[in-house]
Amino acid sequence: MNPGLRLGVTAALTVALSGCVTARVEEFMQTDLDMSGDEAVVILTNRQDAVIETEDSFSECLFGQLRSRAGDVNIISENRFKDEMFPWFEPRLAPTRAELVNVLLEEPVIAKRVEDLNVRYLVWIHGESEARNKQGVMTCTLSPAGGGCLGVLSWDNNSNYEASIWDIQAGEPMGIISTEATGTSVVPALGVPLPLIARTKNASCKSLGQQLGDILAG
Amino acid sequence: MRINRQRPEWQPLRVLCALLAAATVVGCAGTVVIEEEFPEPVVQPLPFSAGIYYSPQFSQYVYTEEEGKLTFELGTKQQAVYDKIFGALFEQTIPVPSPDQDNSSYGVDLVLEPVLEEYAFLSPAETATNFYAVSMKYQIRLYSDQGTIVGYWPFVAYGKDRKRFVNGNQSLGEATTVALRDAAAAMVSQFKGVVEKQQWRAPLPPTEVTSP
Repeated sequence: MNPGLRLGVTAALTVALSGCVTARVEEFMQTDLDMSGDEAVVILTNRQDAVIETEDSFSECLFGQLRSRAGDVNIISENRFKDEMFPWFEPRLAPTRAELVNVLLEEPVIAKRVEDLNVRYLVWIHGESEARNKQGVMTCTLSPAGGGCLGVLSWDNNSNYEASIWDIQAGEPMGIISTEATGTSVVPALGVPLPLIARTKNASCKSLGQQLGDILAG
Repeated sequence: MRINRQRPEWQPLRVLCALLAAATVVGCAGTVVIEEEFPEPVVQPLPFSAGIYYSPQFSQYVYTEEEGKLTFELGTKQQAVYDKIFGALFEQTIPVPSPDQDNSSYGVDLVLEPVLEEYAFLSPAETATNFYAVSMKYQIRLYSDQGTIVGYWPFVAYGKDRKRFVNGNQSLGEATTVALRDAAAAMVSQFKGVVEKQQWRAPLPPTEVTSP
């Protein structure tokens, strides 16, 4: 297959295998970030909500996005920071408001560890992706001679995430960036199922990563 | 001779079905993996020498479901976590052979014995959520250096983890790891205060000591 045709087929498959996604981002910053030297930013997910828990895959995706978009900024991953600060950022003890960071830093050993890590900002991620309105029917059969599926399934994908930025030195909230992505996934099957998945989580990750990366990079 | 002809157009589907079937079997029979390495707690140690006793029931604890479908070893993992916690909480820790004997010759100020009273978990089907939820009910028994039980501190550690498509046991292992980390959080934030106030010197009979 010549390269042009291969590219065309790849592009067609990519479009065919992805459902349509609409994403929007809203930003509310109280003040600009003021990073200097090799001050670090930590990406954390909120684990205290009994109902909503951000997926590990989302925080890993966001971490990768920020690494590529704000390459000069020292970004510390959630796992590393939680281990370095163990156990003060476990769900039982993690501060729930920016002001409470000051209380935590009153403990000299904790303040010393934060100073060693040179952490300036905490970015708390809260939100998740969900599938709603599942509809349709699909029947699959399997026999020694073979198998196949017939029918169609569809559902709505919705991803809502919010990033709250705290200044750990001042113990103050700096702002919030929120993103929402929606789309409809469809899986038609006439023999072989052809999943057309609306990747709203990925769209949210990219849009939030872009916005946050721009803010961090100044 | 009979020749079996395969219909090539169905080959990928067969492979897919075979893989799914294999994955399902692995998901049912897989092992529960709990994190091996726990970080050192960031805490200012108390100026005490603590004797530490782990009973065989604690250090060799194996979780077994009633039907025997799921069995996994938890004892050494939780002992490793408590070693880290006690090692960080006290200036010195010394293993003692028994908590209810005269341990003054070891030069300890008090003796501690963690007891796992109950390990329980709920699957996503039971909670109607997307999570495995683990609870670990502990009791920290406090003894004087003379071997007299003087108090106990009960607490429950919790952990949860999102269910995975194929291997539910991996989620259970992660949820258990989170619960063990939560146990460390409870010990460092609350139990430290109990010891700091020297509440283990409470009058007999043993009383439940409260967090500060």
